[in-house]
Amino acid sequence: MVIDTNRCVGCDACTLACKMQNGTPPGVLLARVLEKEEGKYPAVKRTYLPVLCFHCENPPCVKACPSSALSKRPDGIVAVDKEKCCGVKACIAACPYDALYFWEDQKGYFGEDLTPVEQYYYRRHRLGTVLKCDFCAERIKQGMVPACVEACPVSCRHFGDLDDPKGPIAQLVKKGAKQILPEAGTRPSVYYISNSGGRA
Amino acid sequence: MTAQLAKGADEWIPTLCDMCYNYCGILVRRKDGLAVEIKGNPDHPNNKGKVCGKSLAGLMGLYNPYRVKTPLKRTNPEKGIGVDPKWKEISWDEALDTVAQKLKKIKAEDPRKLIFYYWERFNRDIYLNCFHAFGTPNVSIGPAHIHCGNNRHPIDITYHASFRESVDFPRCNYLLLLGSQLGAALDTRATAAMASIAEARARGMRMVVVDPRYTDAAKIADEWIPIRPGTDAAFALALLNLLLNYLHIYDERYLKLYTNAPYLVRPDGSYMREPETQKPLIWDCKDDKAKPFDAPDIKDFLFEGSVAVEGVECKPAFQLLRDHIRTYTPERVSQITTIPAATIRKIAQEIGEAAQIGSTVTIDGVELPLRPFAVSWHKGSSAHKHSMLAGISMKLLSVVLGALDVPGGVLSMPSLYGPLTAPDVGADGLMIPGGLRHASGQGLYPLRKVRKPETIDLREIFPFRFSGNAFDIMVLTNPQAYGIPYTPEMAVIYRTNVMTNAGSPQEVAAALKKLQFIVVIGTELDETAEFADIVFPDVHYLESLSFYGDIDGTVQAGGPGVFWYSITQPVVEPPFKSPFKMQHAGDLFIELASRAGFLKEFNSLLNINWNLKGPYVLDPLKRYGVEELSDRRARNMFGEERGLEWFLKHGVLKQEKNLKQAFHRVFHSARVPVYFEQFLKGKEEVSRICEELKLELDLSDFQPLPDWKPCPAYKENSSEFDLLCINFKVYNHSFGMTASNPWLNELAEQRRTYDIWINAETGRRKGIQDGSRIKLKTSSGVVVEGNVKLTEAIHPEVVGVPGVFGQWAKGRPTAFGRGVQSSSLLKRGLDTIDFLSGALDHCVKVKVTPA
Repeated sequence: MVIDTNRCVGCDACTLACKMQNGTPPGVLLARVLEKEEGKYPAVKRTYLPVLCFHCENPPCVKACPSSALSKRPDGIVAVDKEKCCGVKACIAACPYDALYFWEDQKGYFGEDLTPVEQYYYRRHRLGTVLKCDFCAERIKQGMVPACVEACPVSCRHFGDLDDPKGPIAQLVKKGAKQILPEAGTRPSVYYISNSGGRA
Repeated sequence: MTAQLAKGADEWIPTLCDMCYNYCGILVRRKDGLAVEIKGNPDHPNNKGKVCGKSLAGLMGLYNPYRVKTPLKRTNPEKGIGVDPKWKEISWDEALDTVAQKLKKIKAEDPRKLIFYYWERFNRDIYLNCFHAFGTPNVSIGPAHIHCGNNRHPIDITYHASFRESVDFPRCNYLLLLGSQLGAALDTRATAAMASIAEARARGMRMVVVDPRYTDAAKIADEWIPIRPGTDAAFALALLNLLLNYLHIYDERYLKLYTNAPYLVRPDGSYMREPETQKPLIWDCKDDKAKPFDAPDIKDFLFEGSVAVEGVECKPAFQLLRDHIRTYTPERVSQITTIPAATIRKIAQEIGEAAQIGSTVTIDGVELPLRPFAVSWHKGSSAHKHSMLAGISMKLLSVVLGALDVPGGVLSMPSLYGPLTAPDVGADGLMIPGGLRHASGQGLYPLRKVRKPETIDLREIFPFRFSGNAFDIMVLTNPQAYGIPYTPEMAVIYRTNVMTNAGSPQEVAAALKKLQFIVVIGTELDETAEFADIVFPDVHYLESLSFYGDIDGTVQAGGPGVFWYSITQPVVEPPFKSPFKMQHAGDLFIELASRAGFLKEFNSLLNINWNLKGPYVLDPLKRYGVEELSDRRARNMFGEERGLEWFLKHGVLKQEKNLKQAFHRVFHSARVPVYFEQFLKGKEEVSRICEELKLELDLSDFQPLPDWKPCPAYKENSSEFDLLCINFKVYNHSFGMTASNPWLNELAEQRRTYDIWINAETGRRKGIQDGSRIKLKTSSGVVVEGNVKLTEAIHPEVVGVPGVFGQWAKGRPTAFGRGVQSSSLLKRGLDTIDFLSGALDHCVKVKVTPA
C-alpha cells in the first residue's frame, strides 16, 4: 500500500470504514490517523499520518508469538489465527508501530449490553485474543480493495502488488515513496508519499 | 410499496446520509433485517461514492439503546437545567390528544402564540407547510442559526440568486478561504468539496487559508495566514484597495455590464434617477449624456471622476467605492489584522493575476469569460457583529475580478436557471432570485417592507435577511419590549437542541420557562427535552421515508453536471409502534393536524405550494401520510412513471444541466451591487419602527459601502481578560448533534478534538501545561472548564474552543460532560448582534487560568 499524506485531510473515513468492515470493539482502531506538528508559529506545519499494520517483510510480531498464531502469508499479509492465539501479547510489545490490539473487555460502546449491530460485529472475534489489520483479506479474495482504500474521499491510498515491478505500487515506490522507521529493520509493505508541498 | 424488511436477505439500500446538512447519497447494507454497513453511493452525483467519517458512524445512532421509544409526559412541574422532569410513559393517544387540544386552543385564540423550531431538511416541505397552515409565522431553524453562515445566505442570494454557493473546482486556480474549512470534511458539500479540492490541488490550484487557527483546510493549503479574529473585512478591503487603486486590476467590462458600478450617485448617497421612470442613470461618456442604466444605445459608461447632471454633481458608484476604501492601506490593515503589510500586498498581486482578466474558455462551442479565482468564507468570519459589511467586503473581491458565475469562479448553487427557479430583474436593474421560495426576496435587494415586529425573530425589522434569529431568546424572555402583540405560549421543537447551541443555557432556560407548553420530538432525551412537557419519539434517518424534491437552495453542485432528486427510505423499522404509520416526523405532524382540525388548510396549502395538478391534487378533507404525499409529489414533478416506487428502487433521479444553467452570468442582464443605495432607505424605515417601539438599535451599519468595524470584545481594554476566545467547528462532529455517537466520540478522544487550543508560547507565559485542565472566564463572570492543547498552530492572542459540547443531559451518556460548554461564553445583547445579518458575535475576551 502507498499512502499519499499530501492529500490526506485527516477526515477519519478510513478509520471508521475499517471499524465497520472489521467490526472492532471499543478501543480498537486497526486503521487510524496520527497528527504531527512541526515548526514555530507562524511558520508551522501540521501533517497527518494514516497508519495501519504495515505487513512487514520481516515482521517482529510473527517472531515474538510463542504460539505461532501470527504468520506471514505467501501473499505478504501478516495474519493472526484467533484459534491459536493464547493472549500473551508478546506481538503487541514487539511491534514498533503500535498496530496490534488486544480484545480484553466484552463491553460494547454503550456498556455491558451489546446493541444488535455490535452482536453482529463482535461474534467474529474471540475474546482474549489479538486483533490486527489483515488488509481486508476477505475483500481482496473477492477482487475488492481494503475498506480504508475504498473509503478515502481524497483517494490518498493506493493498493496493489508490491512485487509486480510494472504495477502502480512499485512505480510509486520507485518514485520515492518511503517506509516509516526503516531503521527498525522490519521492511514495511506500506509506503508514504510526503513533502511535495501539499501536492500529489 | 415500502421496502420489504425481510429476514434472510442481504442487500444494499440506497438512501441519504443525515449526519450533517449535506445529504450525501449512501448505500446501507441490510443483512437478515439488520443494518450492518454504510458506504457512499457511487451512483449519487452529490458525493460520487465517497462519504466522510461522520457518515460511516450512522449505525451507532440507529442502534443507540437510549433512543426514545414511547411518548413521555413530564410529571415534575418545575423546570430547570439539570432538574429531573420525572418522565412518565404515556400512550400515543394520550400524548396526541393532549398536544392536539393545546394546538386547537391556540389556533382559536391566536396561532402566532405557537413557535416551531426545526433542524432537518427531509420532508421539510411537508412539515413547514403544516405549521404555515396552522397560521403561525414563528416557523424557523431558530436560535441555533447563530452557528450558520449568518451573512452567507443573503449575500449568496444577492450575488448568485441562490441560497448557497460553490466553487468551479475543475477550473479554479486560486482559492482564498476566510474563516472556512472547505476541503476538510466541513462546510458546504463537505465530502464533495474534499474530493474536488484534492483533485484541483493535484492539478496545481493554489490555496490560501486565512484563519486565526491552522485548520485542517490550512493543512492542505499552500499558505496559512493567521489573522486576528473578526478582522477579515479589513483584510478584504485592503486587498480591494490594492486591486482598485494601486495595481489597477479589475474587470472593467464585467463591472460596467453586470454591476451597478456605473450608476450615478448623488451627494446624498441616493441614485440619480430619471424623473419619469425613476430608473437609475448612468453617464454615456461617448454621447456625453445621462441615460437610464438599461438604455439600448449606451456606447460606454462613465466609470471614474464625476459629472454634473441637472446641476447636481454625481459620481459613478465605482468611483465612490475606490475613494471609500483608500484608507485601508496595507500598513494600517496590518495593525488591525496582524498580517504583515508585505503579505497583504503579495496576496493582492496573486489574486489579481490569478483572475486572468480578459481570458476566455470555450465550452460546448460557446466562448465564456474564464476567471479562475474564488474567495469563500463561512462561520469563522461571519459570526461577528458587523458581519454583513464583512461579507460584502469579501464578496467584492470576486465582484471586481468578474469571477462570479463564470468558469473558474464562484458559482450559484443551484443555478439561477434551475428547475425551480427563474431569473428576475428588479426595478433598479439588480438581480432578484425568481422561483417559488425566493420570490419574496431574502437578499440585500430589494428592500423588504419594514413593519412592526410580529415574529419572535424580529424578521420584520430585518429587511435584508430572512430573520434575526439571534434575537429569539431575548424576545421570548420579554416579548412586549420588542412590540410583539401577543405572548408566545407553546413551542414544538423538532431536532434542534436549543439549550446547548443557542448561546448561554441560562438565558435559553429563562426563555423556555416563559412558555406554558413545550413539545419535543427527538430520538434522544437531550438538554432541550429536559424542558418539554410532552416528548414524542422520532424515527432515525435510516428508518425514515422522505422525498427530497426541495432542490432549490440545497446542496446541488454549481457548474456543469446534473440536478438531482433523491429519497430517504427505511432500511429498518423504528424501535416503537405508533397508532399511525410513522415513517417520518412529518407523519406525526399530519396526525396532529388531523386531530387539531387543520388538515384541510394543510392539504390546500400543499396543493398550491407543490403546484399539484390533475390526479395528484389532494382531497382537502382526506388524511394522507408522508408516503402517499411523496408519491404524488414525485409523479406530479416527473410523470406517472417516476413515483415513489421508482425512487425506492433507484434512489436518485438526475437531470442534465445545460451551459446556461452551469454558468449563467453572461446569459442575462441582471446586475449585482457594489453600492447599496437600498441600505439608506432601509435604515430610515427600520429607525422609524424602532422609534415607535422605543427600541434603541445602532443602525450605523446600514451604509452604502462597507467598512471594517471592531467587534465589541475589542473595546474591552482589560489586562485581566487578555485573550480573544473564538469557537470553531470540528470535522468529526456535526454541531453537538452527534456528540452522543460513541464511534465519533472515540475518534474525538483519540484526536484530542475536545481540547481548547492555546498558542504554546502564550500557554507557557501563563504557566499552563499541555493536556492540563484550564478555566476560561469572561468579563461577565461566566466560567467554563476544559482540557488544553498547547500548539504553535493558533494565533497567540486567541483561545480556540471547539464545537458545541459540554452537554449535561442524562439521556445522552456518551456526550455527557465531554468537551467545553462553549455556548455559555457568548454574550447576547444589542451590542453583540449584527442588525443587518442577525449574526451573534462569537468573539469574547477571556481570562485563562489553570483549573
